[in-house]
Amino acid sequence: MLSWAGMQWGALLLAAILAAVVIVIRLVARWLLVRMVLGKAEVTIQPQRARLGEVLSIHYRQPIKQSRRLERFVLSLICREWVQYTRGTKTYHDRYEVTAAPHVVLENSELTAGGQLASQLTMQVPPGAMHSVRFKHNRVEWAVRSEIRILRYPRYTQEWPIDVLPLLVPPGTAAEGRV
Amino acid sequence: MTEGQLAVEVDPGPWPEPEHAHCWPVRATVTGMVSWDSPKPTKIRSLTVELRWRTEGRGDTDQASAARQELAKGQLPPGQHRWPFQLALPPEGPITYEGHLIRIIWELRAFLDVARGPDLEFTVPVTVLPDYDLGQLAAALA
Repeated sequence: MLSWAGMQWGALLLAAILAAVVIVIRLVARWLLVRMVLGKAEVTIQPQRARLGEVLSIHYRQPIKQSRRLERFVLSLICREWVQYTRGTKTYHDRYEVTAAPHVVLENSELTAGGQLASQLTMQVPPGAMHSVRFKHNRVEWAVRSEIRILRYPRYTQEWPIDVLPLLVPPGTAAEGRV
Repeated sequence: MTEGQLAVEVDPGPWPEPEHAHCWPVRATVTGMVSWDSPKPTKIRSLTVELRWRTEGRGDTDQASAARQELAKGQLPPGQHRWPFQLALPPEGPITYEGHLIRIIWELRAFLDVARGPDLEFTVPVTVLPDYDLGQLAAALA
């Protein structure tokens, strides 16, 4: 006869297996999205090493392989704090993210096979922000992120890191950005 | 017991406002004076001054000494002594930061390593700010 504790362990095991299956399904769906619906994104960011207050020029192109309904395509500039800490013998990570310049490129549109997702836009690194730092336990990271939502597919995101320097663009010299 | 008073006077930074007196941009040189006043002779291993930063917040601490200068060692006679110092801030920063998970704190620390007796230290908080890209500023003003 199965004990109460045994049943609890069984339920836990079942939940873990289900969670693993869901993760695998999501990963496969994401892979399918990239391989079957969209081609590889080509992104140019200028400059790669930006100063605080600097306007970045972003050129994004991604071929469309299959026609689908696009819910949303957003390009944004993100700043992420990443920390590592130890409690006892375990190591943990935490992160906090700020989206500095979200830009909705397309919304509720039809993607046509043979076409491409394309955008050319500018984003400004906020002048009062923190520059990139990379220490052993503490980091501040900057990246351009694309977020694509296609009907009946999981959200697909990609990031391209940039390096933000502890230098300010002198006032009046930066081009006006779409922030 | 170490008898005497250790102190640090930091020259004002490049900004004229009094509230920015202890602010410097990256790449700047922080200057000032360390003083030691004692009625007795003091034997020391070293007297150093350094600019250093550390992180605080959720993550484990990262820290580094950005610049260090040894000002004296050996026997210090009684009386008041003053040593000028100049320490350069690194161009790569980090700048002083108050974030959500991370804080970056800078300080200037004078440390008197006494040969026979307790050591003494004196710290002054400093604020490090981003610098203007002067190359481009010069080009824009030309």
